[in-house]
Amino acid sequence: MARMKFICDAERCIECNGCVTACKAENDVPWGVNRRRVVTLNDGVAGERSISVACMHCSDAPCMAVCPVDCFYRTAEGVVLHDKDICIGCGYCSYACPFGAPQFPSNGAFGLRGKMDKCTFCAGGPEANGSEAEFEKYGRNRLAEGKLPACAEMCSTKALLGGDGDVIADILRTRVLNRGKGSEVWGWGTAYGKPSAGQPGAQPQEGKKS
Amino acid sequence: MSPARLLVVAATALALAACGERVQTMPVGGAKKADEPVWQITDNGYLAPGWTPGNEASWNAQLRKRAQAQNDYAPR
Repeated sequence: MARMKFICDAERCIECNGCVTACKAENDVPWGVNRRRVVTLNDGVAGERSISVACMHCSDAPCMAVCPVDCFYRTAEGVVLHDKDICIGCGYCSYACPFGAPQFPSNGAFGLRGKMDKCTFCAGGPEANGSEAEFEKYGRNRLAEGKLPACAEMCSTKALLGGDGDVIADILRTRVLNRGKGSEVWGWGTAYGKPSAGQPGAQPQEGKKS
Repeated sequence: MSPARLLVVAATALALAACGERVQTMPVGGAKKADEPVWQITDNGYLAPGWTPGNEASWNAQLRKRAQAQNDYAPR
């Protein structure tokens, strides 16, 4: 069973924000909401590094744990999704998320906060796969179309990898071994922790540098 | 229009105002909708070629193949 993950190769990301644009265009994300953004460490300093950040689809997601109306669910592929018909827009998930993934459209009266919106790994929501209702609420369901998330698939430098955790961990590991460096800033271990026995989503055969 | 009639009209309008309200109560037994398996989709014109919708093994193979497009070191 596939377990979907993102990983961003900090050695390759050139901060072009193409992933952000692709996400907004593909999912028709409302004004003021960014499901994905590029964060630069030591901006302007020689050796600066950038990573593209969105929902990491945590194995033990804090947003799911704190939601008072229990609107989150995890698919069999490990994608953390939510039901907008249940969400009350309270914002607890945004306080709990260490990546700032939950976003809230605030274009209503008196700064009213709308229902939460976040990266869906291009997997839509609980509506029928590929339906108009699903697109209206959650955006495209590329996963059901046999594709990977738009942000990862269009990344020009292939810095952002998305897909089955085992597969993309292998891709990153091969890269790091070939160039001899590059996972110190933001490698698999930084993003998902070191592997430990019995933990869901733990990656076997973790490379020394990942 | 007499004030009494105006009052009746206003009261009726106020009383009916809630009729346009959408139901917001949660269904009994949990409100969360069950999501369907990701490989279950009717052709919407955007399906990637090379796999059979509704077939889990085919979908898994398609995603594995697709992921290798991100691998510069994969044999071509």
